Amino acid sequence: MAMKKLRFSGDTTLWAFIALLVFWYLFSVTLKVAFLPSPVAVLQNIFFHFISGGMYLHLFASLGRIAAGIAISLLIGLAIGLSMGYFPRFDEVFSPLVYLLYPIPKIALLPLVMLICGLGEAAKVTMIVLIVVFQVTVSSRDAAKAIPQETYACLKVLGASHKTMFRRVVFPATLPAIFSSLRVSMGTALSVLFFTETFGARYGMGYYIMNSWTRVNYVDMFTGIVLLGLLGYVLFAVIDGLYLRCCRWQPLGEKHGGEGVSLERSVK
Amino acid sequence: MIAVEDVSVSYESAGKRVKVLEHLHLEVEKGAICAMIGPSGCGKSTLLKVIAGLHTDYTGNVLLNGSVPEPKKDRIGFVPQQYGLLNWATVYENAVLGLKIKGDALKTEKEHISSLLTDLGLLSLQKKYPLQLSGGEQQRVAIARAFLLKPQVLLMDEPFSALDAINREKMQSIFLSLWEKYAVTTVFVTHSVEEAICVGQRIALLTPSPGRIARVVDNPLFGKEELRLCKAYYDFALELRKMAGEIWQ
Repeated sequence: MAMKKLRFSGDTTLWAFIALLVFWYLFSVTLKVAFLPSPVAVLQNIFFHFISGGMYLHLFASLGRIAAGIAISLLIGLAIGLSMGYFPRFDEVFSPLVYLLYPIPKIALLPLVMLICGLGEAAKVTMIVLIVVFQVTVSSRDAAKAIPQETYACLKVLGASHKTMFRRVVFPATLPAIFSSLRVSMGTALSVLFFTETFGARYGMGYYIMNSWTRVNYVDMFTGIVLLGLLGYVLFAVIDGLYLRCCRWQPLGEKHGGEGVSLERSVK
Repeated sequence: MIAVEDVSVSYESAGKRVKVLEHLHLEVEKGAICAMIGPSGCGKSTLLKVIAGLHTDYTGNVLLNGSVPEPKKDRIGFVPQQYGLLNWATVYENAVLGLKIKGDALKTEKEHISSLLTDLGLLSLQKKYPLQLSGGEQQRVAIARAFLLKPQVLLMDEPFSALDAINREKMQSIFLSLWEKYAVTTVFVTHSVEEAICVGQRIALLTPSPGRIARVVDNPLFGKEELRLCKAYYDFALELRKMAGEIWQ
């Protein structure tokens, strides 16, 4: 819980960033090798790229792929996972299937996916979906299974339909778990994205980094790496922000001591 | 009116047939309140589930106002031991949940809602979430939800057993005043003899598993003011305890 506080307080983020830059700088000065440029040069380069606008194309290409991949994974993963958690029959049928497919290293399927979907966007998004969808499915299923029967009983007495159950119980109850699976998925999606963008791409951060490397332009290469990191940071911050908005009911801090403190209050 | 005639419930466990309720008879007249005491595991909760229409695997007859209970059609107020609130919904949303699911227009119920929330002291807590409330407050929300529904029957499953003694007595009197106001046919399950004397016009004693009604006693002290200050209360409690002791041996 303390972690969450740290991530969102501006001071600590700034200090972490500065510390990272200082270490980087020290390394680059002591090592004096071409493939580790000074952070000053890289930051200047980033600034220059943003002014000239040359970077946006790559950033937005990557962002679009991530967004599409995660959105599709959520749609499919939640539909299957929550249904598995809610209907025991559904779970019996799908669990073996999920357990069988989950451990297959999907990254090995890239050639196949490229053969089927071509070299364009579809292949890249499909790769992200193939990997992320299982994480979402399994964690949302487990969260739905953890809902106590008594919670359902109270709504059943009222004559609630399955649709009402999903809307009022299953979905809101699993939302915190959905958010944490989203955080895990985001990290995975970023790595998969990089990998897919190194083949058959003309835009995207992965392409940019690999292209700079082949051009032996290490400043550009590090520019790409830093921006990819920043992209991830912004995405995580967006997820955390959404979580705080959507899961206000969750108590923060001491679960057993006195009144629960609402998330909003303690995060500021 | 609630009529339970010759109801038996059993389930399969590890290849054995376990009886939970056996040939159980119970009748609660319209607008009456019946307290039910029994040792733990005697099938009290199962009986409530049968009456609520949640548990349909039984033999015998259960009738609510002359027809088989159907949660989709009937208006059944249910207050479980663990409050049964949705932690992700505010106090207000939890209270009106029954009305919403039944498709009632909240606008026409506005006065009803605010008067009940006032009676239960929940008006200032409306925007809070259950996990920010004390146990007593959560229980009041559960009761608000049950009464807002304007139920035909009210089923209370040891609703106050998680509260401390002071809060429990407070809740008992709040509950009774609401019950008088709405005149709902009620079954009130408890494990406390004292609570049964407080809230039951009649008190049914259940046998240990498999549950049957061993005895139904009329409660001469029901509705008496300052109950806990009368000697008769303690005498009656003692008498009930003796009775229960014989049955539960």
